[in-house]
Amino acid sequence: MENKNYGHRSWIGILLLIVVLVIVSFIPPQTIGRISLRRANIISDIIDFDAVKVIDKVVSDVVDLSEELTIEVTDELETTPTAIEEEILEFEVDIEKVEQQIIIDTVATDVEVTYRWDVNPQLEVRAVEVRNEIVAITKPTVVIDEFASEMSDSSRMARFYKALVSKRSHVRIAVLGDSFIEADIITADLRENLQSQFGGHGSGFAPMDSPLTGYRRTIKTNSKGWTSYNIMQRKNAPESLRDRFSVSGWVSQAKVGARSRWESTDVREHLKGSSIARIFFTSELDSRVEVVVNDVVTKEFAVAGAEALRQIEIRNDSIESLTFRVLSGESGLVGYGVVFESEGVTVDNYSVRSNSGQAMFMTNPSLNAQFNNILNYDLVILQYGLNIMEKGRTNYAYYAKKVVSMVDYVNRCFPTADVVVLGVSDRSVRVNGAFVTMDAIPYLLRYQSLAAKKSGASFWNTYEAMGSIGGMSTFVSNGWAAKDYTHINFGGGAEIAKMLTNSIVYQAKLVADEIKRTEVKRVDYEGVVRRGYMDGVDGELRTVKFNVVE
Amino acid sequence: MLNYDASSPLIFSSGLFLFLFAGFILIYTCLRRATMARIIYVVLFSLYFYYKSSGIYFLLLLFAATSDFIIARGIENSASRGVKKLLLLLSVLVNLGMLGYFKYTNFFVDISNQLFGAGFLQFQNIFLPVGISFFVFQSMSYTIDVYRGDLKPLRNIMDYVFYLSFFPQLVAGPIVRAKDFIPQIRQNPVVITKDMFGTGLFLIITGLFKKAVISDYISLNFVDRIFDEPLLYSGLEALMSIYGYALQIYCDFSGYSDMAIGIALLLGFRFPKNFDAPYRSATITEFWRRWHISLSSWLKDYLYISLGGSRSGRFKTYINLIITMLLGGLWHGAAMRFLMWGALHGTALALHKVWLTVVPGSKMLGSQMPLWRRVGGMFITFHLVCFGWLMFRAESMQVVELMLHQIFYNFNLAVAPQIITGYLGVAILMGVGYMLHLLPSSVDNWARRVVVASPLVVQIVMIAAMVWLVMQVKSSDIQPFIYFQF
Repeated sequence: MENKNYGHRSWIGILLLIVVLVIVSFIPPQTIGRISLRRANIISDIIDFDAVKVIDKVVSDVVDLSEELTIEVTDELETTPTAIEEEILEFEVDIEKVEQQIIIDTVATDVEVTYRWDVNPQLEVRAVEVRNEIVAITKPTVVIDEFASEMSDSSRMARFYKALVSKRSHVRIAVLGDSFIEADIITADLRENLQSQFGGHGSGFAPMDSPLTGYRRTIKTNSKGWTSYNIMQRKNAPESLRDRFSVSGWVSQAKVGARSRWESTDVREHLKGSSIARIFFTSELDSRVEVVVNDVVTKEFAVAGAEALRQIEIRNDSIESLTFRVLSGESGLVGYGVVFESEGVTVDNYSVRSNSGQAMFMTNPSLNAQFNNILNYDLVILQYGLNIMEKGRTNYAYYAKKVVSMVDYVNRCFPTADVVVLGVSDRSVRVNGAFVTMDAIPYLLRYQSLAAKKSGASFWNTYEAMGSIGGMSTFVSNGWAAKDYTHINFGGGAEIAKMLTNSIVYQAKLVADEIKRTEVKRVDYEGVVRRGYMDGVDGELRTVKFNVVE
Repeated sequence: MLNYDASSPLIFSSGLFLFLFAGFILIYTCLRRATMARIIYVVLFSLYFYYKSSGIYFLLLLFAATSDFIIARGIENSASRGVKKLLLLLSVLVNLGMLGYFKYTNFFVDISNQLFGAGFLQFQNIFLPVGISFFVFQSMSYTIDVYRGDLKPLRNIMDYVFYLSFFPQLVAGPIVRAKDFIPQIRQNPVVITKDMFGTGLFLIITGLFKKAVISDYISLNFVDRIFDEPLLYSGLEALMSIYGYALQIYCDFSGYSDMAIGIALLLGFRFPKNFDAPYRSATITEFWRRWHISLSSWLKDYLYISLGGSRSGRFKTYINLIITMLLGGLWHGAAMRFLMWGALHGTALALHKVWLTVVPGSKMLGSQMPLWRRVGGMFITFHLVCFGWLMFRAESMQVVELMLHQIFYNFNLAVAPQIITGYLGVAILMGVGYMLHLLPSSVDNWARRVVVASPLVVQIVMIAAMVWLVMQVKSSDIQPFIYFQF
């Protein structure tokens, strides 16, 4: 019996197996308890019934309904918040109150806000290396949509572009986002690219203390003696600190011996060589603090107690390390962070994980406004959406309204800045073993874009940019993104930053060309109207030469 | 679907393979008494199988087979020892030349660029044909055995192509010796006993579970992300990911070779065992008798012994061991970290040999030890092996440093309960994986006998259930990132 040949069993068996599996493939998906079972379709494994194609169709359907999709972000729109949104219902904002608070709190105080320290006053300030000549540049794959046709002629980002191409000494960009850009992802390269083009040094903003500093490579941070809170865990923070958050998303309460030391790195170009550093904190009680520059020179500051935001502004030919120590008065001292900069472009990364953007409503608007009084932002980029998106969900009207409020909020706190809303990035989910774009993405993008349009902001489609080089699955296979098919790493950030920079520089060049050739009419002494153009910069039309066209 | 697609090689755990195999086996059964027709049929299918994974490079496989077939004949026919030696040298050069060119060119370019400055040599765009490391070693075992007089060369080249290209072990082993395989080619009729059928099925079921359930799930949902960015995770997660990787690589590799052995059994071929619960080893020497046995015994028989083995004194023995393991490390991939991994194992094996001679009462195998020493030995051996896996898996030495930094300075035991609940699926699979691994072999044998003894319908239900489970895992949602650290 043992030697009987079972050869025939193999093919009978495998035939039976296929029959069983085909029958099983008719069992619809179901959920048992917390486990959801998929439809196990063996046929789909071999036939090109590709989920990818189905989803591509959904994407094109949605995107093709280009102009008037039935959704419209209006106040009358009946919207019911979903479970995720319920959790963030506390993030309500009353813009009028924001405005009032800013006005009340930012009226000129007689306390000293800025403590200046010019480490080496006899030293000549380094020549400004602002390069506003832009070489010819290819048209970007994804342009920043300023919704120009709908609006008047003036571009929504004209202010920013003019600042970039004029000989303004500082141009400042804040990027507010979630875990997608945490640790300076995207911003590290956006900064490098823009500084290479327009000049500038330094890593921008770095928090006083955060558990994430080890992961950030563009600046080294060592901090001790702080208790830090992230705005998403605002409830864990003591009452006194809960209204002390700024858009950076972190507050650090000083303890005895609190100190932070930052050191520049060279993982990107231009990180070294910053000539200005600004340390930001508040000191409700009188305090004494000490600053050490380049581990060599030390200076002590006596800070008079006040509620206002304070900065210590340090200037030196080059600031490669900086130490901030709290000597006394720590119980009233709250640290925010430092900005390393020089003349030229500064890009600040303000990222808070799990944030859908609405946490900004819980920050202190007047504190934000005080930051802006010092820093004068020219552009605020909002990178949000991953934390609101859900598989299968197509309605983001409620969130879109929040995006409108976010832009509004940013406009109040940072009145000098233009705003760009970044569309949500590509995120893949697994369908039948293949990684495909999450079905919700085109819908969320549509709502984000509508919200940007309505709020007066511009819009840049991150998903489309990623898609132009293969999308998330390519990012993962190239090692540019993590295996959750959601988060990118520095490699992926560099790719996205390249495209975003390209869009910015391209538009900036158009603006520069336009400024240079502002058309004017002149009636000459014979009474003949002549049309021509004048060369000028910054729209000021300093007369250089009148070029007659006709 | 039936053409070569570089991004989706044909693997046993795919639906396509199931259908192809169903078609294949129907005709195979019909040909069980027609030896020559069967050989040609299997060769054609195997070449197609290889084409699905490596495209045009199936010609390379044919080239390797033809060259060694002719050389082996030459070795047999030449009377002089010197000519035999030269021919063997030629075979080794051809085989290692192919391996060297396809697998190591860029590695050597990289090394010379580091020595002589960037740009000294240009990196080449060379495709790595799937399974080349396996079939080159198989082919070398044939000519060396013929040279040593352990094997009569084959008369018919089809037999040799059959041996080298046989699809079950073609792309990922086990490395089957010509000696063991060749006598089975011309069996007439092909006999598949009840035990072979049941065991084959059992190995396919467990192999699927190991490869397509445990390994695929924990790598995607846990291990990879931590090795990608260690600083985002606590030391506890880093340590768990190393344990996870130890399980992943074992399940992936042994699962795939179990499936290969199982499929071969269904076709009437017996392959030797390739893995024998390696993490149950109480010493590093024992580990290498349980881990990838077909490779370690190949290295022993053809490299270590060729170097002189243990015949020329103790010190030379240790050197030979280290050289063998260094090259064995390099066999796994062309990168410094595989060399370091080999160096670690070579040194550990040499030190263990010293230990055995110096420490009285020391034993080579766990089965010879009292329980407490065996358990202690397993613990130490496992962690040594894990340290090796850390180097093996990490993309750079910097990642190794970061992982160790997190483990030693940022352990954060407090997040343990959150990790378990946050990564519940991973925790369960890792628990099940290690538990099954540590069960005594008798349990394994018992389960195998149950499958063998079951009626066909029950057997089919068992494998269908496993395929269904694999499909559930394949289409399950990706575990989102969870940050317990902050």
